[in-house]
Amino acid sequence: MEYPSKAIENAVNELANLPGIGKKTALRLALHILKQTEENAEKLGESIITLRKNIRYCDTCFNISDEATCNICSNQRRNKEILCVVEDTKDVIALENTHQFNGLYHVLGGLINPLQGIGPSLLNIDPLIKRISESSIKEVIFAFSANIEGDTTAFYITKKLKPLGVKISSIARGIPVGLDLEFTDEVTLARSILNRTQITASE
Amino acid sequence: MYFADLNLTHFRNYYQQELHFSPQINCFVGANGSGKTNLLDALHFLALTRGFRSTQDKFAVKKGETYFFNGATLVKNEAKLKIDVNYLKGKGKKVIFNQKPLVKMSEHIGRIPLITILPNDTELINGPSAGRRKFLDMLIAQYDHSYLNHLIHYEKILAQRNALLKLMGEQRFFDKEQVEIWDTQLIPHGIAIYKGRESFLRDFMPYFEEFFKKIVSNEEKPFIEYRSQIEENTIDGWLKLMAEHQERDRVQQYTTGGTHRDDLNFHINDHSARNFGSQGQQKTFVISLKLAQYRLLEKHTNIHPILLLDDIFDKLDEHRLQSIANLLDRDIQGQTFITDTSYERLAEVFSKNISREVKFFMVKDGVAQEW
Repeated sequence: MEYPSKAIENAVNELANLPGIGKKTALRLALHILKQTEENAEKLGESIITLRKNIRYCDTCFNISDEATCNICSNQRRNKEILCVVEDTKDVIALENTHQFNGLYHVLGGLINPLQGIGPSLLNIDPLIKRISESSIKEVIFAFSANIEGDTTAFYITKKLKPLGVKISSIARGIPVGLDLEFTDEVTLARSILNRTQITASE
Repeated sequence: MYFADLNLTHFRNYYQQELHFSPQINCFVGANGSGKTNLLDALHFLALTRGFRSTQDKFAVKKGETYFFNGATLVKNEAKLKIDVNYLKGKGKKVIFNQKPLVKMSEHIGRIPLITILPNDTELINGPSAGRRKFLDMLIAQYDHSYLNHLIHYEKILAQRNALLKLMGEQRFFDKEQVEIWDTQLIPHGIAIYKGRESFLRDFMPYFEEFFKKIVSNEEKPFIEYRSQIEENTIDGWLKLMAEHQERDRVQQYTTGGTHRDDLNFHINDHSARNFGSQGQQKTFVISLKLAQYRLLEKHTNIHPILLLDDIFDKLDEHRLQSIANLLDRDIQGQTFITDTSYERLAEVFSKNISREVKFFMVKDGVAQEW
């Protein structure tokens, strides 16, 4: 594509580096920003710079944070005995939105994936072991994607945690809420039968 | 189920062709390069939405043309069904079944069960082991979805394990613990794959032996040997194997032990068919394998599959030739298509005690004529 100005071309190329944005969308965004008031465009630019320069990771759980300790870790009302281990910050957000979990988190920053060159040493696994051995955490929950990499990471951490004697569990895998049984794939269905839940009739 | 007719336009070396088939045996006879096999390929397109030769559809268009149309009438339980495969260069392929265009090609596959036997199928004996594993896996996976799932998972985990070995090799360290994590994941799938292959072969052997014996008169005894590094197909057996291979895995930087190294050895009277078999013997072996596959498909679909035989009589002695002709007459009920270069040869073997209808077509330079 030919652009009428070098400034447009630069902006398009930078925007097109973002996930899910192609050259055409990038051009549309660039032209839109151009139509905005100078003030609005500056606000956008500043917010991106602040995001990159000021945001840090929580020293305890490695979640994105404004301070050295994030507001989940520093919240006194949360249960400090239960810890949920997740792949990424977006998983923390997803779980927080359920309002069902009141414990603490630990963000690994990825899953073990040799094909992408990611081994355990590149993840926040050692800090996790250290954190559990030095704190009052009694239960660890793995909330990973249901794939080979997620299972492997869970296996690996379980092995490492064994000497510490904490209770370890994994989020349930099974039929999504609202989905018909007949449309559930065989693997999920087989797994949900193996890991069935008991139902007790209340009086 | 059978093809009642076939209409070709600009398909391979055909300009325009209309043929009416016998529901039983049809023979295409002609010189090399006349277009016999192209007729089988056209039928393959209609049954499975793709040809059996080149992977790209554009090569199926006649030279100098921009499109091809293949049409056929399929008769199933006396109902007439229309199938069309249309291809336009730059636009792609459209398959129309009973006036309804297919959304996904996969919805058509399996509708018309079909088995082909091609000259280069002897690759199964002479080629690398991957071809034999693929043959076996496709056969099992067709009827056993959980086997396919195990296979897919095994491959994925294996790729990760190999990547880990390579990564560690490049960075000059070896972490036993990490390798063993992948083993824990790999083993349950490996156990299922071994079990699937072993039990399938046990069921498959009688069909195979039956066909082989019908083709060969003398005391030739065929045998399919399942070769695997797995000695004891349990978690402990596998753990032992993985431990034994650990040092080699470390040095070679890939996984050297497991069901992905399985192979099939084909024997005739205790001799390896690959090393000692003549071309005729190897051909007999492959034909028997494929006909056993035909029988299994027939059992599972409850339909007599269509059989495409490309030049299978070449290099076979008179006895085997006649035996195969008799077998096609008595043991195969599905519609059969045969290509051969010699009219005399086919006319001879199909003249003796044949009860099925045999129709001949002479093929010359892209024109086929009923004889």
